[in-house]
Amino acid sequence: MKHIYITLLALGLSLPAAFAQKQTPPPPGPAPTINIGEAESFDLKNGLKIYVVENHKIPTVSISLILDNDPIIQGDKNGYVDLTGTLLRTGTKTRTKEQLDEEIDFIGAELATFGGGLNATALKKHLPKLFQLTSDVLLNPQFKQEELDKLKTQSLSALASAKANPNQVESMVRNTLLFGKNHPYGEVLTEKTIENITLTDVQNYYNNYFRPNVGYLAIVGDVNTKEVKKLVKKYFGPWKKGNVPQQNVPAAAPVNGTRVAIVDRPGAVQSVVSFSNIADLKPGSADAIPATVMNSILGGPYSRLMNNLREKRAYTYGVYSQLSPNEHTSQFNALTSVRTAVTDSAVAQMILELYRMRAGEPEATELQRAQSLVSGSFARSLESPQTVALFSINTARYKLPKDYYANYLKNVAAVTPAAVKQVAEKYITPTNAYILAVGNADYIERRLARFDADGALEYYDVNGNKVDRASLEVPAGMTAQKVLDQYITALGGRTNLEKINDVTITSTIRSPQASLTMTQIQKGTDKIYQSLKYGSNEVQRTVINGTKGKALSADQNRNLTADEVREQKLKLALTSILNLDKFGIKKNLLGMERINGRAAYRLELTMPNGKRTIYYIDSESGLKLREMEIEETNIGNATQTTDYGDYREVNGVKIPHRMILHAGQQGVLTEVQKVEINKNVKDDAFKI
Amino acid sequence: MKKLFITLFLLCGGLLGQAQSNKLTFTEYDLDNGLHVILHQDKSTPIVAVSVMYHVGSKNEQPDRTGFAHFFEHLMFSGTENIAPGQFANLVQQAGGEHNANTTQDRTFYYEVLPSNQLALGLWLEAERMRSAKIDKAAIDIQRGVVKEEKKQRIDNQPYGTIQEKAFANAFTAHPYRWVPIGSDQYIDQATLEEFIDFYKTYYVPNNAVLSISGDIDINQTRQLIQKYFGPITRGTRQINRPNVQEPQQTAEKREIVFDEVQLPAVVQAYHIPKQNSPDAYALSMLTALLTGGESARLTKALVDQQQIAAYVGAIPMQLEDPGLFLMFAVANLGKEPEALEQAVDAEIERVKKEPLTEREFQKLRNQVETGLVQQYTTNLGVAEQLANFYMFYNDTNLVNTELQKYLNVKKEDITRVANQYLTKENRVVLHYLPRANQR
Repeated sequence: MKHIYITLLALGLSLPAAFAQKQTPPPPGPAPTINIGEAESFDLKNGLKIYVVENHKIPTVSISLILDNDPIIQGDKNGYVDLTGTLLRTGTKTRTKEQLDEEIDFIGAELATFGGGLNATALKKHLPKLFQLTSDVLLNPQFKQEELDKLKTQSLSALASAKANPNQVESMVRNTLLFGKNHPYGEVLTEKTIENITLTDVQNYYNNYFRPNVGYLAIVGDVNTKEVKKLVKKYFGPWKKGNVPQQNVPAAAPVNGTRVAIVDRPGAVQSVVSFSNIADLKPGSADAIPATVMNSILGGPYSRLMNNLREKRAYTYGVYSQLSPNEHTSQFNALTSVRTAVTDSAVAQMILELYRMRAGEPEATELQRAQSLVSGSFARSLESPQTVALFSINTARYKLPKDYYANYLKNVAAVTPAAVKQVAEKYITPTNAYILAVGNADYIERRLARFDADGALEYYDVNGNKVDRASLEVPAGMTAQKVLDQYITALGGRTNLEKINDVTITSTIRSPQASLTMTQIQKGTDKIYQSLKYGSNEVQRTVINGTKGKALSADQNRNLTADEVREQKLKLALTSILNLDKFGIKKNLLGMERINGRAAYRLELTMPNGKRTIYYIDSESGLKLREMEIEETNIGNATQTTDYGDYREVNGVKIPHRMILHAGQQGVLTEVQKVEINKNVKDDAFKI
Repeated sequence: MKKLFITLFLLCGGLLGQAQSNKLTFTEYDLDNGLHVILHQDKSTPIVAVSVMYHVGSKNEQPDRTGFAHFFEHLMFSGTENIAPGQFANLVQQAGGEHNANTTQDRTFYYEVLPSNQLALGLWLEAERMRSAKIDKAAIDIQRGVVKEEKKQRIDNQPYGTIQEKAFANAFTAHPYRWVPIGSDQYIDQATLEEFIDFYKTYYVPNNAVLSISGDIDINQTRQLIQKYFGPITRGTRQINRPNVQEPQQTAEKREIVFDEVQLPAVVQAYHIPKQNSPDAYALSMLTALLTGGESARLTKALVDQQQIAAYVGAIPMQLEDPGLFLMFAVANLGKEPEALEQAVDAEIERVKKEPLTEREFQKLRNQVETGLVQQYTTNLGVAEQLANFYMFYNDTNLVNTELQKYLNVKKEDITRVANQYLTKENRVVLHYLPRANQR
C-alpha cells in the first residue's frame, strides 16, 4: 500500500509537466436563469388581438401585424395575394404614394406591407406618427390601376431575376415537384399569371382577408402598455371585422419512388442539389421538438452533413437540412451547392447521411451537443424582444399549451436517442423523395442517373414544366453536306448570298483594356479589307486581293503566305461558305455536342495544308454557334474559340452581330454597329 | 387643453431622461502584450458576445497571394495545441453558442455568442486561436477546397456576384484594394506552409488585435479571466505590412462590359471616395441616403417609381481604411436597355449636384441617420463589433456615443459639395452587366 502510494507520488511529481501542455476548456459557471418575459395582451372589440412587450434597451418601437389566413390557391392569377400586400403601401384615400413615401422616410421609419400582414419600425419619439401612418395604410388603402401596373412590371422583373438565380430556381421547382401545381405551396408564378391579375382581384382579397378578427398585432420596444392601449384603440379601433373565408388546404401525396430531376443551367460552375420529401409535422406536436433536435444533428450548423461534405471532403461551402413544422403540410429537405465535377459524389454522401440518420440512434455526446445547440439558439433568440411577442402569438395561433415556451428547454433536454431515430424514420423518406439538381446537365445527367429508382431522369424548365431533353445522337442519314446545306439555308439561302456583291461591316471591339473600331469590306470572293482603329489611329490593316495579301501594323509590314490568304478568305468572306470545294476544303461530320445548352453538329473543315476548323451548327436553327480553330504546334494543339450570336437579317442574309473571342479567361466582345450591302465599293479599296 | 400640455411636457421629460440613460458605457485598457480590451455590460439577456478583431485584411496581402487573409479566417477554425481538429465548433455548440467570422479589405473579425455562464470558454477559445492555432498541411488542404466552393457559391454562381471584384479591379491600379478579400484560387494553391505560418506570426498577435466583449458580464471578474487567458501570450515582433500606397488620381472614365448569368442588365457606377475617417465621410453617407435611402429617395423615386426604368437601385459608400469606392447599382426593368438606364442614373446625379436639398429633405436625412445608428446597437454582437471598429480605425471608441453628432454637424451644402467633388465622370468606373444570352 505504501509502495503504491509512493509510486503515485512519483508519478504525481512528473505528471504536471506532461499535463501542462494539454489544457481542457474551462467549465461553465452556474447556469443563468432564462427569463422568457411576458407579453401583455388584450383584444379590441373588432377581434384584433394585441401583444405588447416592453423593452427599454434602445429607443425604438416596432409594430407587426400577422394575419392568420389559410394559404389559398390563386390559379391562373397566381401572385395576387403578394401584390395585394405590396399595393397596400402605394396610397391611401388621403395620401398618394409619393406623400406616403415621404412621410415614412421623414421620420426615419420603415413600413413594409405584405400579403400576410405588415411590419413597421421607428424611433420611440415618432411613435404616434408611426401609428397614424400604419393605420392609414392598413385601413384606408386606395388601390390604383397605375400603381398596380407599376408593381406588375416590377414583379415581372423580379421573376426574371429569380429565374437567373440557381438557388431560387431550385426552391421554386422543388416546391412544384413536391406539392404539385394545384396546391398553394406548389403553384407556379409565371409572367402570364402576373399579367392576369386585375385591380378587382386585389380589392376582393383585401376586402375578404384583411380583417381585424384574424389579426395578431405585436407592439414591441421602448413603450408602456398604457400608452399603447390608447394608440391602438384610436388607430385600429375603427377597423371593421368581417367573415373571413376559410380554405381547405389539400394534403400533399408522398413522392412516387426516388426520382431524379434536373433543371439545366448550361455552363454553370456549381450545381445546386437538394433532397426533399413530404413531411407532415404540426407545430406544437409531440414530434416537433425531437424533430428539431434530429435536424440539428443531421443538417444544423455543425452537423453530420457539414462535417462530411465540407470539413472532410471540401465539396461545398455549406450544406443544411430543414424540417419546419407547418399547420397544413410540410417538407423535409437537405440542400447544398457543390462544384459541378463532384455533384454525384455529393449526392451519394448526402443520401448516405440520411440513411445513417434513420438507421441508428445518435451517440450520447452527439445528442447532448445538439440539445445544447437548440437550447442555446432558443436562449439567444430572446435577445430580440420580437421573439417574446412571437412566442405569445404562436401560442394563441396554434393553440399550444400555455406553458409551451416556458417548458421548451426542459423538453429539449428530455429528448432521447430513441426519439431522434423515430422522428428520422418518420420524416425522412428516401424511397419517396426527389433529388433535384440545378446545374450543367451536359455534365451531371449521366452521373446522377444511378440515383433514380427507374433510371429515367426528368428534366424541368425554370417554371417547373417538364421538358424534353434534345438527343445528342446524330440523326440517321445526316451528312456533312446536309449540315452545310442547313447552315446555308439558315443564313438566307444560296440565292440571297450570291446576290451580295460587296459588304461593309463596322464593329466595335470591347476588351477590358480598350475599345477598338473595326471596318471590314469584302467584294466578291477574293477581295477583303480589314482595318482596326483605336480612336482615330489605325493600329492594324489587312488587305487581300486575289491570291495576294498584306498585313500592316506599327511593327510589321509583310506579305501573307498563300495559306494565310486562303484562311483569311474562309474566315472573313461571307460567301466563302458556298465555295468550299473550290478552296480545296474537305468537310467531315464529327458528331454532336451541346453548346450553351443547344445541341449542335460538329462540322470539321480541313484546309489543303491540314489545318482544321470546327463549326458548331445549331441542330434546330441551323446557324453557327461557335467556331474553333485548331493549330497544331510542337507542344500539342492550340485552339481559338469564337462564339457567334445575335443574328440579324440584312438584305435577306443573316449576319451575326455579336462575336466573343475566347482568349484565356477573358472574352473579347465584338459588336456589329452597321452592315451595308452592295454600296458599290470600288476595287481601289483593295489595292496592295 | 392645459392637461394635454402637461402630458406632452412630461413625455418630453421622459424622452430626455431616456436619451441620457441610453449612453453606452464601456471600459477599455491594454494588456502588457499590447492587446486592447473593451468591455460593455448589458444585463438584459443572459448571453455574452466575445469578439476579436485583427487588424489584417486583404490589403495586407502580396499581389501574388491574394485571398490569404480570408483563407486564414477559415484556417483559424481548424484547431489549436489544445483543441483537436474539428473540435472548435463542437465546443461552441456544446455550450449552446454560435460562432463565425468574416474578412474585409482591412480587418478580420471573429466572434462567439454564448450563454453568459460560458464567458470563460469564449475567452479561452479566442486566446487559444491567438496563441497556438494549428497550421498544418491537412487543415490547409481541406480549407483550400472549401474556400474555392465559397467563391463559386457566393460570387461565380450568383447573378451580379462579381460586382465588387470588377469595380475594385478597374478602379485601383496600384493600391491593394485592386483585389477583393476572396482573392484568386491559384495563389492559395501556390502558398507554402512556411508562408502560412509566417502570416500567422506576423498578424495574429495581441498587439494587432482588439478583444471586445458585450453582454451579461461582471467587469472585474472578466478582467481577471482576460488576464489569465490572454496575459501570457507573447507580443508579436515581426514587421507588419501596412501598405502605404497612394492610388494615383484617376483621370478618365473606365468602362467594362461583363457577361453574366443574369436576366436583367445592370449598370454599376463606382466613384473614388476618401478614406473612412476623413471629414467628408459623413456627408457622403448622407448623400447615399439622399439617393437611395427609402422609397422617397431621389434615385429610387425617379428610376423605380416614376420612370420605371429600374427594377432596383442601391448605393453603398464602401468607406475603408484607405480611400474606397462609392458603389451605385441599378438593375434594369424588364425590356429596358442599360444605356438608357445609365443616362437616367446620370441625370439624377446631375440633379443632386445642381439642385440644393430642401430643408425638409435635409431633416429627413438627419432622422434616417439617427434611426440607422440606434439600430446598430440592438444586439450584443453589434455593440461589440462597433466598439472594436471605432477603436481600431478611428482611435476613438467613444464614437458609439458621439457619432450622431458628427452627422448632425454636416451642413446641407456639404452634401451638394461632396456630390460635385466625387461623383464626376473621370473619377468613376462604369460596368454594364449583360445577360450571357446576348453573347450567343
